[in-house]
Amino acid sequence: MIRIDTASMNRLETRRFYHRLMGACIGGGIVAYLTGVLSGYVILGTVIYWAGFLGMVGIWKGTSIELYDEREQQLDREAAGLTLWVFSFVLVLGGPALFALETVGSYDMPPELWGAFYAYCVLYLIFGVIYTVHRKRS
Amino acid sequence: MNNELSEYRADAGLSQADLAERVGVSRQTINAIERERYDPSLELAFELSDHFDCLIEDLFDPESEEDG
Repeated sequence: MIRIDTASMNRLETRRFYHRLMGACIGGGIVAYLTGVLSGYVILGTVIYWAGFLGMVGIWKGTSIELYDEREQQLDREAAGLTLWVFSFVLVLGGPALFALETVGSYDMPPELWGAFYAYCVLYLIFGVIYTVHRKRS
Repeated sequence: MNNELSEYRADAGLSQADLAERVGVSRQTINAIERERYDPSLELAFELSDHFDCLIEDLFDPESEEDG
């Protein structure tokens, strides 16, 4: 097992070190995946990519070091909230319009669009469940 | 929210990175607070006032932005 000595680093250096480690995991995974695709070892590339991704998440969630401070966490929440808000327009305005067009027979929704529409619905359903659980806990 | 963080930091002879290290946030967060682009949490505000041994009201002024 590899032991990492972070005792000689200060908090910012340790945080930077872990960020680089996470970047190396996911970056290495992406490079392995692309190399696999180009050289015909797609499965191997995919497995290494997954391992890199899991390594990144493992470092992020497994370390006791706070890798993102309160401002960075707030930025993350705001970006996620804004993304959901923007995409809610697609669902709220686009969904009923597509149904209406299909009902009157002027447009046949292709299966891919149905798939995307249901994926949107599931995304907002999950958001609703997580929001409700958090609200009850707080 | 207006604040006097950069003045207190300069008086203490600290860089943004030094202060960030001491209160456990990134240098960018200290920079954002000084430029009044980010209002810190109560926890961080207490941490900063503890560090400079002053009151939170000495560092942060919620009124002056609206008055100005």
